[in-house]
Amino acid sequence: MKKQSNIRVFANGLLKENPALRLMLGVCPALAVTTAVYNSLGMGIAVMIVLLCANLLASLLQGIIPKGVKLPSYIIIIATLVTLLHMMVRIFFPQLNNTLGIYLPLVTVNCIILGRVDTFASKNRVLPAVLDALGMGIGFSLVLFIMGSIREIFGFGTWLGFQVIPETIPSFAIMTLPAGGFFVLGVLAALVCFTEQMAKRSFIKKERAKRAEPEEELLEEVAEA
Amino acid sequence: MKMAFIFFSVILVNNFVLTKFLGVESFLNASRKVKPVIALSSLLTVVMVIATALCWPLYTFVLLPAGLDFMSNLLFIIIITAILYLIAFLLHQFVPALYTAFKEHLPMVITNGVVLGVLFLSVYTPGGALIGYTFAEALVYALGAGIGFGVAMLLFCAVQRRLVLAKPPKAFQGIPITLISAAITSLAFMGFSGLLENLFGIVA
Repeated sequence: MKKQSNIRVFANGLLKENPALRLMLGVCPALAVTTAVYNSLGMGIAVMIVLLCANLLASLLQGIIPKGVKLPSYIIIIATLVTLLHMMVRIFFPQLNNTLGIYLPLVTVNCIILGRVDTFASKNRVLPAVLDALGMGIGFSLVLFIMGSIREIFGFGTWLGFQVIPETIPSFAIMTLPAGGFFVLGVLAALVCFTEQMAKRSFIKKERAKRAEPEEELLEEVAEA
Repeated sequence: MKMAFIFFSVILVNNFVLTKFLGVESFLNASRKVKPVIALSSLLTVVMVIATALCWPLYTFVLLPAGLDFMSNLLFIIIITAILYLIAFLLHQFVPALYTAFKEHLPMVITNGVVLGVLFLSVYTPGGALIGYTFAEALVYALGAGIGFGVAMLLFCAVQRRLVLAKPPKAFQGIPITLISAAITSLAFMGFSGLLENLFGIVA
């Protein structure tokens, strides 16, 4: 595996390999709980905490876990972490526990966590594993936050509970339905693709301009001579 | 009557993929061929029914009386993993040709939320309230969930085949157009809501 700088590892999860937008991983909670900003933030932070702890443990335990039972061991580590987190949320944030419902314990089977633990943390040292978890977690939370904002503003006319759009304007009910989740995520993914294509195009233009310059200079020189 | 209601409601109205987003990762990454889709959904159906058959008695007769219901998450996932490894072992012994393909998809099947989701919805709800499904009802629920997953996957497979010929804008190619078409499929399934209440005369 190619050695990556720590900053690159951290930044990878934010946009380039953003789990929800690029790899289509962990989209189940991203679609299900993002009807409001509060839920989205709660879910994003929950996934980040579990991912951080799981990555840390997997990185520390590499070499100790036998190869044949790698997958079951990781699953049990993650399930234990999720159970602990679920108990804490139930005590300290009962409202969040009610709104997230089954999706909080379902973090156990979130593809992002098992995927990162299996492909990255189990093969890397502790620091890159932690940075990777932070980058992926923040990238995932960011997508959830944006989706939650869009769906709450258009669906309920509020943002984090505050009225943003006056109640006289009828809300856009599809945003609160499951179909709205698919739709918003699709448009977000398209937006990312679009900006990337624009960036690539301007980059190519710049490169061409750079390459064209020396030729012109050469021509001028020839003309002077 | 209630059995039929549970069965059809989980296929049409409360479809796992399209309204609860369970297993949506394998739904969106599904291949465009019919055969692997059928293989995956029948495998998941079998796992779900076996897992429900094991977890329901364990939860009702062991965890609940002992006050250990917070352990259900851990127990359920261990049982699911064990069932999958058992299937892998059986395949390795009797159908080696299928084994390598199965082994490759194993992480994806474990992290497919459908199986754990069906246990959470039919055996134990982490929110606290008991569902109160009997053993037979829980089994029917699991079977219906599996079939509903298969139906949604097959329908979406057909949609994706059309997408090959379509020419979306450049930014929408690939993942975004898949998500948008999933949104439309989900909207189409909304048409079933209210159907069963009128058909069976039961208020869910």
